[in-house]
Amino acid sequence: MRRDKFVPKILFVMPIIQLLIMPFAANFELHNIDFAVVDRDLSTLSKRLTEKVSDSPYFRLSGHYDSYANAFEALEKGDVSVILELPPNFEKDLQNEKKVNVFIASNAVDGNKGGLGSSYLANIIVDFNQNEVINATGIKRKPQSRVTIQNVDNPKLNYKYNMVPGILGILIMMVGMFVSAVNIVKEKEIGTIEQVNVSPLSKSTFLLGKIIPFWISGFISLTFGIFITWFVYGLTPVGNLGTLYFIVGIFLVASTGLGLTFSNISSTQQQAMLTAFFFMVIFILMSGLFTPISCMPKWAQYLDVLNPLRYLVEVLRMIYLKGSTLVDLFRHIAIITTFALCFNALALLTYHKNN
Amino acid sequence: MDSIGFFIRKELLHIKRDPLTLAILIAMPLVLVTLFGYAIRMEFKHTPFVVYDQAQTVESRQIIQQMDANEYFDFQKMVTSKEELRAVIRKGQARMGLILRLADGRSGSIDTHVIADATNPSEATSVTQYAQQLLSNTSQIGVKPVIRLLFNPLMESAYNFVPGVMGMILLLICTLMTSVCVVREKEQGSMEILLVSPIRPFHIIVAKMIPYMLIGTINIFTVLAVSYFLLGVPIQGSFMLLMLFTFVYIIVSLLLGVFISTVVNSQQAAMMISVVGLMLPTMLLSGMVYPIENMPVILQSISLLLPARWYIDSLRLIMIEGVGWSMVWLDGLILMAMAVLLIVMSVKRFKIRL
Repeated sequence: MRRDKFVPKILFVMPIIQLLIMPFAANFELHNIDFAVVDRDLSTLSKRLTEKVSDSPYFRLSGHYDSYANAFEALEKGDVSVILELPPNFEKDLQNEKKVNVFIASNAVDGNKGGLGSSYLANIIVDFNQNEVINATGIKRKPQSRVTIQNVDNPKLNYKYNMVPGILGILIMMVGMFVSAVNIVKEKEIGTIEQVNVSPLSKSTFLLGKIIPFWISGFISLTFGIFITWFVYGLTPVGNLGTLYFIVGIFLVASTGLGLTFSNISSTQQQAMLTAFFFMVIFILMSGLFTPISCMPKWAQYLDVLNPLRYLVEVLRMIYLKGSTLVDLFRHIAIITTFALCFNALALLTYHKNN
Repeated sequence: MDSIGFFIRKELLHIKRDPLTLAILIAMPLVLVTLFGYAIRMEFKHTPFVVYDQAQTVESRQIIQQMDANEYFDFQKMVTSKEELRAVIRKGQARMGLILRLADGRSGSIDTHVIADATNPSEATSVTQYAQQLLSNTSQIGVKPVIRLLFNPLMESAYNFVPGVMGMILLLICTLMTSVCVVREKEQGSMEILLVSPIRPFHIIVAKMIPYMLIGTINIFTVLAVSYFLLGVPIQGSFMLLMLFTFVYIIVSLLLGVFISTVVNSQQAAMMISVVGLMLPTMLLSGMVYPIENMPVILQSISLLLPARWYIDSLRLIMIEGVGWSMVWLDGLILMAMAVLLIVMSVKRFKIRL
């Protein structure tokens, strides 16, 4: 494997790409939402509201439009994501203590974006109502309830802290699975496997011989990944590095075993790689890294019990962010060990010498 | 040239003799659509919350009821101290806590303090914003915001994800598989034999592309059918336009696969480049899952180079917004330009390398 020029490159390139790109790309935060305003009142108060919205870090005033239709066209095109329409007589009606509706139209093709964007805007308007309407119009209004917000356990709402340990997990699984999946099959294709088959080498020794180099390369990737995590994000584990390596070690045995199983049931590299990729994608999507497991429907959550990556991501997050110890993680260790045993048993079973 | 027909048949036979691969190629898109349609959610509904009610008035109880009645929030229980509230959140039994207090000096007014578990930042943001919106809806007079969600009023995640899934699938089938397939011929040495035969090299490549074009097209129809009938994803715009864009994108993907195969010499390398160099960036930067506008400029620039980004964008415009040529002409132009560029680059490399 050392002679294969490609594998070492992958061990280093993949961590870099994933750890550098993903945390920066992968967030659902919204800033500088382009909004259009259709101000049909053009009064002091309406302009004040517009100003308040564009002052907010969440929004960026893209332009004034003289009709909803024109603004809508801009929204369709993608120039703006939200339209704020202020009705005529906005200021006058408020001064007469009437209720005034302002209209928010939000592009909800991306449901999350649409919902959140309109929510931000609505809250700004409510704030405007509570603080400024009374000053400008002198209405004596019924005392309003105040709402304050506090975020705990991650007060800076730092996505990266949440994401990066998880990405390390994906990395480890990928290296463990892909490389091993292709390996045996490659020998099958080339024909060197025949030589091993006619040797007195036992099945388990052979497989063990395969696992160890992959194990080592997994650790190399992991170490490199941890280094990048520290270097780029300044993130170091609150918990024990030794615990981390220990658990990852068990996991690598599991993912290598799985990869070898794929290798055994395939007859071409293409098949093995495709099978590995198929499972990889499912594992990643359901790992709780991108979207929380708790948001998934019950049936998906039940299925997710079989996802080894989900446990690894949890472990990594807990060690990095909460400083969990071996004792805390006992349940996870037990589960990952079970996976390791099962997958390798499968690998042993599916490997036929007379293949 | 009749021989190209034979070669196409040969390639199809190869594929037929590999049922495992074929099964995965057909199953994978369906699995992806199912996952994205049902399992991957960004809607934070039924958030469990607890309440520490210091006010204990009719109004405060009304607030709790109002929150619970909303499908976004699920009332768990009352707690009797701030510490208990924090402990419950830390243990994960609830993800939000409300502290209700009598606003000083103003009778009947309740001040609400919302405490949110922020270990998942996007969840915290959504939850707090919605909570705030709901709680502030007690405004009697003055300005009231009326919200209309366009194109996707129920905020279905599937509307956003399905175009992305379509782009990904075609990338997988057309680019990845084609590149590996061509390189396999090279690796096994039979490419040289083919090249000295009377058949033109161009025809060899086309013969390899066509089966995957077919599989890709079949898959698109399958995915569209599942999305439309099962997930309720609309096809508001012209179906013909949709197919036209899909066709151009398929060509671009196939050409990408061919180009990759002219650059590498082993199947492993082809796979690695296709996955790490193309699919991974596409999954992250094409706007398939994460909004592009939030990304740092460098990443946005890379996104411009990904064919999937333009295709997915056009799909969303055509399918969900239902617009016509006037809005998607730029996407189409770019895709076609990419196709032309890839043909030129591949042909040049053919002559040198293959």
